[in-house]
Amino acid sequence: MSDIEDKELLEQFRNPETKSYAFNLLMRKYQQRLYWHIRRIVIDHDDANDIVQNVFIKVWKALVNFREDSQLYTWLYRIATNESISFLNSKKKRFFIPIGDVEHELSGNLSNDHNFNGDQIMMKLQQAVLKLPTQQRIIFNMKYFDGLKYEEIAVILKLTTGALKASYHHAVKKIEKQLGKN
Amino acid sequence: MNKESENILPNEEPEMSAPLLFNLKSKMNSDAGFTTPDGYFHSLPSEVMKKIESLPDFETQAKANPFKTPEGYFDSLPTIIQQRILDQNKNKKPAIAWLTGVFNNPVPKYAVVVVSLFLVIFFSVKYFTRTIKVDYVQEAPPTEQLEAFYLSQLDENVLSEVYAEESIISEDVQENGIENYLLENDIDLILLSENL
Repeated sequence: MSDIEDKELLEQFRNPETKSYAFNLLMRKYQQRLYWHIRRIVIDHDDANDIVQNVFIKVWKALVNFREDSQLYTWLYRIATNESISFLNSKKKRFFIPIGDVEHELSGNLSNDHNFNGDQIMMKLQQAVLKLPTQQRIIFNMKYFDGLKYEEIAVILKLTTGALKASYHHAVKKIEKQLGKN
Repeated sequence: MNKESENILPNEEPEMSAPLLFNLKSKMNSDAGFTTPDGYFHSLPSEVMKKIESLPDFETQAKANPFKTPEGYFDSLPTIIQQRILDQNKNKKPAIAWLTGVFNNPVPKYAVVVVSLFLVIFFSVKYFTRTIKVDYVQEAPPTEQLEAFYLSQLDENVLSEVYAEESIISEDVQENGIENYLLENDIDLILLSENL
């Protein structure tokens, strides 16, 4: 969908009579992209489902104040990323998981996840991705799986493109090394 | 992300340095092995809308304000406030500005000088011509009066006990000289009677 359609959506959302309809369209447009982004961060479907619903509820509340100087999908991605990171942080606190071990825990979840039906090589790839630090993992996911441009990721994560490129290259090398081992 | 990591950016493209990873990408589905329950994305929007509809509707609640104001209150309020500000500014004349005003005007200036001089002279005269009141010590009452007073204060029982005390009463005490003795020995009869 083009930017003009996002503008139309926003206009309809600002009209009280078409607000719910416009929001329904917005959810249908972005739900899959946001869900998969969140799912790759938190791994578990139920957690991803909770987070994606919370993200849309936050969007419902804040969309009226959305400034159109940035793109709608980068704004949505940012909310989804922040919600996912907050979820992981609260999980660390709730279950007294040491910092850095949350990915190890997620890796265990992945092995037992009945909603993961990838073959052995896919499992190995995901296990390798889960060995990355959280932020580097998010950068890798956005570039490798979602196919976002560095400039777009930079806007979403509020980082410089140079820093992102370096982080992504390091992540790629680490994962390649892991896959080579196996 | 720190600046250090920017400085170690590799030159080659990641696809070149990681053939395993990028061969894998060309073969994989978009979900990369993850799945969702059947019909999940079909039902997700309605699930979210249900939750949104159950949220408290603050906009409607805010519109239903139970408090009322007098008719036309908000039309007249700005005028009332502006008038009050003007009134306050009128009444608030700083002391320095008032004094400057007084001394710039010749008539009040001389009046203040005259009144000040009058007050200085008046209080000076009053201070230097004041009378100092001195209380003189009254003359001692005659001996007869004292005798009569002490005799009226004495109790016979007390006296008999006093007499009995040889250590207190000396031999040279005469029958009518008790008062003198008491006076000479500084014995307070009132205090004595209270302690008995």
